[in-house]
Amino acid sequence: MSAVRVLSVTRTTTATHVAAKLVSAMGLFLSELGLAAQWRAYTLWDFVERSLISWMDEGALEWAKLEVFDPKSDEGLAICDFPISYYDESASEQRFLQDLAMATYQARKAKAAMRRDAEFRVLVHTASHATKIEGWSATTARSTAGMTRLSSGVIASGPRASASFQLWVRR
Amino acid sequence: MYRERRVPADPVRSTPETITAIADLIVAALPSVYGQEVHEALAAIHAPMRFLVGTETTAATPLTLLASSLICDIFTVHGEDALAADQPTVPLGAAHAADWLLFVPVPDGAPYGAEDLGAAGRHVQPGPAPEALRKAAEDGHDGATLVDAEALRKATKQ
Repeated sequence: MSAVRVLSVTRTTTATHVAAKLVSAMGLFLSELGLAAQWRAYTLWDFVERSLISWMDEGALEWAKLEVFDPKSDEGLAICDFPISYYDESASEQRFLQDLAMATYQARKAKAAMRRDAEFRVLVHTASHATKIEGWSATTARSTAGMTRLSSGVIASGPRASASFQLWVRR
Repeated sequence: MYRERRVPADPVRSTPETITAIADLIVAALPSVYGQEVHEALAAIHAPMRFLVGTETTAATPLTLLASSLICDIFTVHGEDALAADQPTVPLGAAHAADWLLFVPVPDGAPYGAEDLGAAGRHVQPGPAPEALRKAAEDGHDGATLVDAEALRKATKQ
């Protein structure tokens, strides 16, 4: 008897993949910066990942952002932007790709600006049709004025969407 | 006896769903162990597990369950491989096991250390599992006499 398997690639599977990689990239980035204790103490990673999946599933997540900042001056020290691009069903790409090594590599460029007591927060920007998820509140992103933008690339992609990675560093 | 199991992760499951699936697999493999004991042990290492699964470390470097005659390497599969993978069957060989160990990798650059795993309780050990155990199991030794979880626990803490 032969078995026929149907591979179901949906926007949800792409969202699940990309969201998992974005959250993991944030962990790798923080760890490389020496902020592992802050990463471990943050109890909302599962919540963030589920939120990203939900919003990507409805095509509403426009970008996610990881801000690492100086708690005394409140200035951004390193800011990771993850803009999201969506593709229609006719897109030929059927693979799930990730380049998490990019997070570690880019973090090394931000080490000089880092401080041991640095803190971080996760921000998102969603389209107006995004489902409201309790736990998120309105805020304003930190300015990147005076920071240097470094090179970027695609850090995670699937058949229906991709996430890029752009890094801003204070020199 | 030596076994390998592969748990489909993203894009089939989110990272926390994958961790739950791994915990459920371990619970199923240990019918003589109270399931909550397994879930509590996994909950205590949720952050390391999140890192290992999300970064796909466990695609190549397994978690290793050791209980009675069973040594089971638990891998995750990701991407297209996850979509094509079957759900893992329950690994047999630990039906009567009352004690168990889970070896959890500590890769270079991880945002946690062996001490974080050690603080999670007696059922979690920093990995990888001793290769001699895996080799002996592959060679068909009787694991029931080969593996003494308590002795191994003491040995790995020295």
